[in-house]
Amino acid sequence: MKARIQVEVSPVWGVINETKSKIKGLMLEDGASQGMADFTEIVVSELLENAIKYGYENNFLPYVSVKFDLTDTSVTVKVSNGIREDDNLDGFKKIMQKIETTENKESLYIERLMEIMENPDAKGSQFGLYRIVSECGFNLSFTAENHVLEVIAIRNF
Amino acid sequence: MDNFKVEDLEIKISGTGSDFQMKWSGRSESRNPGEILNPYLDGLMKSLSGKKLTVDYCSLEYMNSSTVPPIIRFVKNCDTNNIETTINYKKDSEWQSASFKPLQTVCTLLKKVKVIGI
Repeated sequence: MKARIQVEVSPVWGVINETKSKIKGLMLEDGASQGMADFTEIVVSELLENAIKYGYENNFLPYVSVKFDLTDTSVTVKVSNGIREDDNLDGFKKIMQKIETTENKESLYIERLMEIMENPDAKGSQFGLYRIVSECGFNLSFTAENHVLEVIAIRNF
Repeated sequence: MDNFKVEDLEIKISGTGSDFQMKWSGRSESRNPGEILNPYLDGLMKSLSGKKLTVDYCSLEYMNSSTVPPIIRFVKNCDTNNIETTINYKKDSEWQSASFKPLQTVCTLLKKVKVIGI
């Protein structure tokens, strides 16, 4: 299997469906399993949703960048967007720190579900990153420099 | 009780007497699904109170993470309103199993709701 896509998209909701459908279609054409294609669709969608909801267009990155790379041994999704130093970025870093320092990722997911059960009306599910590591089995990392956030999701086969 | 259809997500409700079925199909991927799902699902509570309800997610093709809070709010309301609720998901679907098994764990806290892979 070998497929690669790099696209630069406007930060509008409509691009999510188009981008994830393109990547999923490519994976299935290339022989990936339905399950892996479904999980990758979730990852692309969650990362793009975050980029559109919480990112900012700035002079350093005036669009959202999506890079997808499928090989025989792994699938990688990288999503980059412009950022500001604000509460959204702080919240993101806290969640990522929790993910990095917790061995049992599923426990984070269940914990978040319990919180939602306690308070289902709280704004923002803040759930997508946990979903990527727990449900979809991808590893997550990020870089935040020069006003640009890049989130990297990788799953080895 | 009315059905629901917004964008690519459809919810059909059927049944009579004390037994009702709710079938979700399509895709839930709007920016804020709670805005449209919560009023609809809340509106069903009065009619379903004290009844039996089977919620079928097997035909749901995709949901984003923002769809999870409205679903949890709904199952919690079912429990509070004494609605004996069975939630079915497609266990052969990897994404559905991954999404609904954790819900199964959380729903063990509720008295009236069970989640089953079929």
